[in-house]
Parts: sequence; C-alpha cells; structure tokens
Amino acid sequence: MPRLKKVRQLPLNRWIDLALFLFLLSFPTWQNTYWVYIMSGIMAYMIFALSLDLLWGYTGLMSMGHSVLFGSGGYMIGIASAWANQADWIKFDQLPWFLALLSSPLGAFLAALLLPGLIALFIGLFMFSGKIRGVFFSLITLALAGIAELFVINQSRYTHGDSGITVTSRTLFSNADSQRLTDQQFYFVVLAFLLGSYLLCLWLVNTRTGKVLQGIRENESRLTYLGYKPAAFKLFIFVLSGMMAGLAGMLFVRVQGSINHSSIGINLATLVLVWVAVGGRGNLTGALIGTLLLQFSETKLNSVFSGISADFAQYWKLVLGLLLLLIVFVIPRGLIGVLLDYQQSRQDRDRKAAIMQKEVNRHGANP
Amino acid sequence: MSPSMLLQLLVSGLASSFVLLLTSLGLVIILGYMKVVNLAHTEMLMSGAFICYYVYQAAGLPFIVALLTAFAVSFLFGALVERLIICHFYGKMSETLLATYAISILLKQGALLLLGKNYKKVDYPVKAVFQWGSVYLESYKLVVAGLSVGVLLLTLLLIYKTKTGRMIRAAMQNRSMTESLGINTKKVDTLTFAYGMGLAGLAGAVIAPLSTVTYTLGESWLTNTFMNVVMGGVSSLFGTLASSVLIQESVSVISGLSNSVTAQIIVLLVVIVVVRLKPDGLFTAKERR
Amino acid sequence: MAPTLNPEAAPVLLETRGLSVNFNGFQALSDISLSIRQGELRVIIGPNGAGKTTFMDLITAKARPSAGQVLFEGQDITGKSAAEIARRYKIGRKFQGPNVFDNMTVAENIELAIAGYESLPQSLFFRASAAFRHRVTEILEQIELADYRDFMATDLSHGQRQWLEIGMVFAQDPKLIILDEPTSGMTADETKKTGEMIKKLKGEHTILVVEHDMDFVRQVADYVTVFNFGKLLVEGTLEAVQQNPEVQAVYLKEAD
Repeated sequence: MPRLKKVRQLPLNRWIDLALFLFLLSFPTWQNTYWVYIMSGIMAYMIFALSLDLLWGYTGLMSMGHSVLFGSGGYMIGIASAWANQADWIKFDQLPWFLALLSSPLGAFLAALLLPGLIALFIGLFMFSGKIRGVFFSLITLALAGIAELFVINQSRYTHGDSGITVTSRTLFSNADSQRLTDQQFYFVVLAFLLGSYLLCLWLVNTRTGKVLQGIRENESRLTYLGYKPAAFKLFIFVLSGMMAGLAGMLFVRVQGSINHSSIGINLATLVLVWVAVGGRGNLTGALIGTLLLQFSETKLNSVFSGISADFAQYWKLVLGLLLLLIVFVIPRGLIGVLLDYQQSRQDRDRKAAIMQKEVNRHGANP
Repeated sequence: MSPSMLLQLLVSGLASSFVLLLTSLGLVIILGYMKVVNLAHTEMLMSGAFICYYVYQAAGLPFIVALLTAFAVSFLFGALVERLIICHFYGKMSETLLATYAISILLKQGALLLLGKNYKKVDYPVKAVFQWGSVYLESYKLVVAGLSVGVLLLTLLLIYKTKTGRMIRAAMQNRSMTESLGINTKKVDTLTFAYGMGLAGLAGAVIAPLSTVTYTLGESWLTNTFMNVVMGGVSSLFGTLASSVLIQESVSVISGLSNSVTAQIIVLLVVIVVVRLKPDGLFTAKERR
Repeated sequence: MAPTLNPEAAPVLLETRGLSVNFNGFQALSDISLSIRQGELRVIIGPNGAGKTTFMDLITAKARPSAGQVLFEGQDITGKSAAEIARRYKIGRKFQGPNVFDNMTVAENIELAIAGYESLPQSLFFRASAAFRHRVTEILEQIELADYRDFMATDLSHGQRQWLEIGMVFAQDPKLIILDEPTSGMTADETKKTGEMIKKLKGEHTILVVEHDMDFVRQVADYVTVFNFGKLLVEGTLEAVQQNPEVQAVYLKEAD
C-alpha cells in the first residue's frame, strides 16, 4: 500500500494543520459572538504570519517591517470606507489621482493588494541585487516601519492622523456602512481566505520554486553556481508575501472595524516576528500556531488581569520579551520545529538501522 | 528660503550630525567587529539618558560624573549580556536579532514599569547660546560635537594603537587563526560588545539634555541610527561620520522646506539608493578576498 | 602509459590566456596560459597559496581577473556572471570544503542541481517526470548515497557531504567539471572511492581537479599542471612532472 505509506510519512505538522482547521471550522458553533469576533482577528493575523513565514522561514529574508505591507493594505480599505461614507473628517471633494482606485469597492480591494505589492517591489528591486548584506534588508525594512508610522500620522488629510479611521462596513467588497455581515458570517469569510492562503503557501513551498527559496536561505551563493539567479526569486516571494500581508491587513481592518498607525509601525512588525519565532519558522504550522497561542493568551489573560492592573498590556510585553529569549535559547526552531526535529530523528534512526541491516546482509553473503 | 535661514538649517544640521554620529558609534562597532546587529542599542541610549537624569538632575552630581556612570553601567550591562546571551549566537543572524530584540523589550518595559510614563527634563550643563548674525547655536551642541569627535578619535586610537585593538582586528580578520595564536577571542568579544554598549549608554547620557527623557526615547532614535549604519557601512568609522553628516544635513534642510516626516522618507530613499550603489558603505576599505 | 583517449586529438574546451589577478597589490596569479582538451582529466597541484583556487575562481566568475581572458569552446567568457557561466556555458564547480544546502534533504540537494529549470516560471510549473526521478536515483547511486536520500545534508558525515556536492556537480551535467580538493577531510577508504567515481567519468566528461593528496593524484591523473607562487611552473604527465627538478625543489621545501 504505497499510498498509505505516504500518509504515514506525512510530516506531523500537517496533521496539526488539519486539526487546527477543523477546530476553526467548528469554533463559532460552541463560542459566543465576542470570541468569534476575536478569533476572526486572530485568523487575519494568521494570514499575516504565513506571509512572513514564506519570506523569513523559507527564504531567510527577515523582514523587520512587514507591518508596512499589512498596514498599507488595511489603510486602503480604511480610506475607501471613510470616503464612501463621507466621514466627518474628510475635507476633500474628490479623491486625489493616487487614490482614485478607491472610489469603487472592487478598486479598493485591488488597491489593498497592489500597494503592498508595489512597496515590496520597489524595496526588493534595490535590495535584492548586487552584494547587499542580508542583514541590511532587515535594517531597511525596520527603518521603513518606523517612518511609515510617522507618515500615516503626518498625512492626516487622508489617514485621520493619530486617531485612525473607523470602518463600519463589514463585507468583502462594499465599503458602504449600510452593508454589513454578522460576526459569524464574516468569520467564515476570513476562514475561507485563511484556508486559501494556507493552501497557496503549501503548494508553493512544495514546488521547485519553494525548494529554490529554501536554497537561498541555506546557501545563496551555491545556488548561483548552479545557474540560478536568486534576485528574481527573492523579488517574487517578497511581492507575493507583501500582497498576502496586504490581504491580511484588509481583512483585519474589516474585522476590527478600525485602523490606526499601530497597525503599520514597528510594534506590529516585531510582534509578528515573535509569533513566528515562537511557533517555529519554515513549516507554516508554526506561524499559525504561534499566532493563535500568543494572541489568544493575550486576549484571555487581558480579560482576567485587566481588573487587577491597568498596566496589563505592558506586563504582557515584558512576558513576550522573556518568552522570546527563552525560545531563542531553548528551542530556536520554535514549538513546531521541535516536533519536526523529533520526527526527523526517529525516522533517521529507522533508516540508519535499515542501512546497517543491509551492510550486515551483504557481508554475510560474501564474507 | 532666505540665505540666513538656510545657513541656520545647515549649522543645526551639522550639530545634529555629531549627535547622530555619537548615537550610532556603538552600533557600528558591534556590527562591524562582531557581525551582530544590536537591536537593544537604542534602548541602551534610553537607559543612559535615565542614568544621566538621576545622577545629574536628581542627585545634583557633576555632569561628567553622569556621563562616566552611564558609560560604566552600560559597559557592565553589555559585558553581562554578551557573556550570558549573545555569545551563544555568533554567526546566527536571526537568533541574534531576536535575542537583542528581547533584551530591548526588557529594557524598555522595565523602564516603563519601574520609572513610569512621566517625562523627565534634564537641564543643559552649559547654557550659553552663540550668535553669529542671524545664526544661533547652543553652546551645549558644541560640547556634544567635541565629545562626539573625541569619542570617535579615542575609539580609533583604541582599535589601531592598543594591544586589545589589534586583537579585535585580528579576531575580525581570521578568528581561528587568532585563536590558534593563543589569543582569547572570547574576552575580545566581551570587551567589544561591552564597549559598544558603553558608548550607547554614554551617548544616551549626552543627548539627555537635548530630548525629553522617557521610556520611548529609544524608539525615536531607532530609524535614524539604523539608517545611518546601513548608509555608512561598517568597514570604516569615517563612513559613519560622512553618513551622519549627509543624513542630518538632508533632514535639517528638507525639514525646513517641508516637514520632518517628508525629510525622513527622502533620506530613507537616498539610503536605499546609496546602499545599492555602494553596498559596503560610503568609505570602503578594499580587502583581499 | 596509455591514456584512454589521445588528448592531442580532441578540440580545446577551456583556454586561459595570460590570466592575472591582483588583490590590493598582492599578485595572486600572473600570466597563466593553459588549455584543456575535451575529455581530458587535468589535475592542478601546487603548494598552499600557489593560486590554484584563485584560478578556479576566475574561471567560474567568483573573482575577476585584472588581465587576461578565459575562453570556453572558443568563446570569451571573461566577465560573465557566475549564474551564466553555470547555466549557459555549463561549467560546474565543487568548492573546497562541502558547500551544500544543509537543512534540505540529500535528494532535494541533487534535485535542485539538475540543470534545465533555473528560471522562475520553469521552477514554478515544474513537475518531476519519471525520467527526472530516475536521474536523481542514478546520481545518488553514483555517489553512494542512495540509502541516505531522505537524510538532511547536515546530518551526513564530512566525506558524504563532499560526495553530495560532487553529485550536485554531476547533476548539472556540465561540459566542464571543476573539483576543488574533492577529497579533503576524507578517510583513505573514502578517498579511494572518490577516485573511482571520478575515473568512471573520464573520457565522457572534461574534468579539472585541484588536489593535495598525492595518492589520489596518482590514482586519477594522466596529465598535471603545477602552480607555484601564482605562476605556472610546469605541465606534463605525472611521471615527467615528478622528475622535474624545479617541482622536486618546491615539494621538498614544502616537506620541511
């Protein structure tokens, strides 16, 4: 039964993925609206974490400003919605040419994917050619996140500055207030996008392109001497990852009903790194599980401790810092990475035993 | 823009350049000599500024004592962090970034929870303001420029003229060879990291009178110091000097014309283009490969 | 001595003309002119720092020459990019010390090296055919790693990792195979097996090897080139070269 053998050899984490999606599918049936709403937001963050995992976990490009791509997608929907509903802070009679796409619902949807893609394209074109050190990519993206946050605060004409934008429509395309899906309904919209994103990632990392990306992570110069041009692959994955982050941002804004500068700045950029690092990078499952565990715990603990201390959020950050240090020290491959290492070492042991047996047989036949 | 205003912008820009140079030096040294990006750098600045506040402003001790305390405390903290944490992750980029980021969270949240959200103000140790025609310059900024150049020269002296400096350069060139010569590269690493952190603390104390001292002070320096390192490169400290001047003069002049955010965006674009053209920094020491 | 093929008759595959390189005042190579014929197995020997690896760097565009030309099948390839030299001109190189994709399986390492699917669209829509899978298995058997196909490269022994990289170069199906110290760090047994692997390719492939291990050189080489201080000292059959007093002087000095 070769097919059955294939199923048995499936990496452990794919079973976790399956269980996770079944859990998410059933979640609204036994949870109240508040938690359905919370979980919708977490699922949008999961898409965001997946997009970073493609870039960081698989390709080794540690973007420290991935929130810029998330937030720029989110802001497109925010501005489109504010315009469609003529929010009271809107002081212009006509959308400027660079935001013209936002006048139609479908245009806003496209803009939320295209703008992050374009930002990634621009950064990538400069950073992925020549002999620029990998760490400079991290530093430039970090600087970008810092500046993007200042930028949206500064551009209050379009972004409502410090206060951010309230988005009351909760549909996939329409930005009008009157149209609104229930929390439950929108939960399944987000879940569908999460499943789609996950399947896309799963397909991609198993293609030859996915292997080339891992090759870039492992040993970029070796790849060059095999005839590959890594820059094209890096650009491709950065743009794809950026668009996926934009999608996550768009969904998140619709779930949460608002967006402000914290969704585009360094805070979120580093938070997503922590999720992926804790869950384990380079296997997709880690990104999903890390996000779920940490975001769920934060919400849950917040509801418990907020009565005791008003500074819960600050203590939580402290805990995250300690947790991150602990993870880097004890299990640098993250929670799921440990599991996969365990499976790999067991399989290696079996294979080694088989090789030994073969040697014995051969020498037994002709001593 | 009137010529006198432009002159004023250029003068303040130049003064800020030396501030940026001082605040970036520790970062450049740690990155250049140890290949470690120290994300805790700007939080060390913040801690240095707090030390300055407590020693100079609150306790009323001389300013120089505050500077030395900030350097000493940060140096020791750096040595501790290197021995306990960083030394386990050499050569692993993601891990060092995550570990130093974790340290930065601990420093920042620690400051917030222990010292509160209140803004603290540190007085100028020298208060005179110079005036040439319509151009003004606070005398303290001159002091900072002097300190900044002094620290740069002292660092170069340490690296090129002392035995420890030679060991640092040797360890940088060829680690295993240096080790086989019986040099304790571990000690060299600890000293280098501690020195870099010490400079960050010192810089924090120096900038305390120029800014409001609060737990978010580190964050506000993050973008500029990191852009500075990317543009200046790590192969020469003169690259850092040049890039500091270039960044701050541009920020100053463009801010005068438009606003500081636009200035930062333009500077970031310039940094991206420069790093594309000169990936090893503005001043490249040619090396044999 | 009866080489399997008469090197004088075959056309020249690789030729260097006056190749020199200068690193910041240090003359690493000066005026190297040599040619390698199709089907030849050439070994370059020489003491440490003689410029052997630098010579390979110049051919594979890891470094740029300060003067001179590299001609491959009569075309000037000086200044082409490393990827182009690998893909278009089909020169495959094994580096000093195993240089593989550590956290990927042995089979994945070989699969990535198989030539013909290097562009983004090609790789995105690539599906492994039966012939492709067969080729992977064939190479794994060639390098004695068939049983190790699902191991991570990082979990192999040093010698096995060397073989893996040799296998990756085979997988590129190159016109010229460059092997930089293929047996360094190997046990005597492994070194001998490596010699067998390489000898099997003799005639079909053109191979350029840099090696220190003289037993290995004796095992595989017909024709050797000796480098010293960045200069080409002498070329000839192994026997002739070993008789050369200049070469003896270099190696005696090395032995001190």
